[in-house]
Amino acid sequence: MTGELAATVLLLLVLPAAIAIRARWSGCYPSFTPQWDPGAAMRASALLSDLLSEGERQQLARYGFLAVPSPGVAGRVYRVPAGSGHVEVYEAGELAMTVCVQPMGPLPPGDVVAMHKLMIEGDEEGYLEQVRVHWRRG
Amino acid sequence: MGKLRVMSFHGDRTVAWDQQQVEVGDPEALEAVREAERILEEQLRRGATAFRVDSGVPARRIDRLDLEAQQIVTVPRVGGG
Repeated sequence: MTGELAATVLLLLVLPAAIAIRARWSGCYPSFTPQWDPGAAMRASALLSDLLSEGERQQLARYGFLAVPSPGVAGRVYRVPAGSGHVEVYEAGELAMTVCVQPMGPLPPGDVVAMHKLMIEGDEEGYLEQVRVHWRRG
Repeated sequence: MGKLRVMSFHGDRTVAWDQQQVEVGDPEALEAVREAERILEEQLRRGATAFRVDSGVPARRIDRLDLEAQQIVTVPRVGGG
């Protein structure tokens, strides 16, 4: 229980900073990065925390990405970065492609991670129809 | 309690309803359900996608309000970046 609380607090504190840093260096992020109302960012982090298991919260806080297994393709895993950046798609443990998909309007950082997770789990085909592939293994 | 959570620029907006009170026809609970239905339909018209989220199982796409869901989360329209 203490570990779960610590991971949640860490997620709420670290996620916005990690996203801000990553957004500066990534090629996949909105051209317009608004100044988030702190309340909006906190609500988004809380929603994300609600949607994640304890293990997922710890993974995101420690490693800066969330691994989402494909519901449709055995051995495929999507690595969703903690905020902006390309989603890496691994197949049988090897990087197969990097893709980008964004909300059409700006969303607070936690919501973007939640968006990827929900779409991959609940509508993988629709998700893949929307992505732009940035790199694919030859 | 069931919840509809709508992602937006301002963080998520939530409408909640008490499933037990809905079953017994409580007017306040029914009003909350009507409000949730109205918001969900509006979001879907705008191109959003809705997911049913229950603890311990993967999210599932839905296209109408599911009163038995623990949570329904809407994601706004997306596109390749």
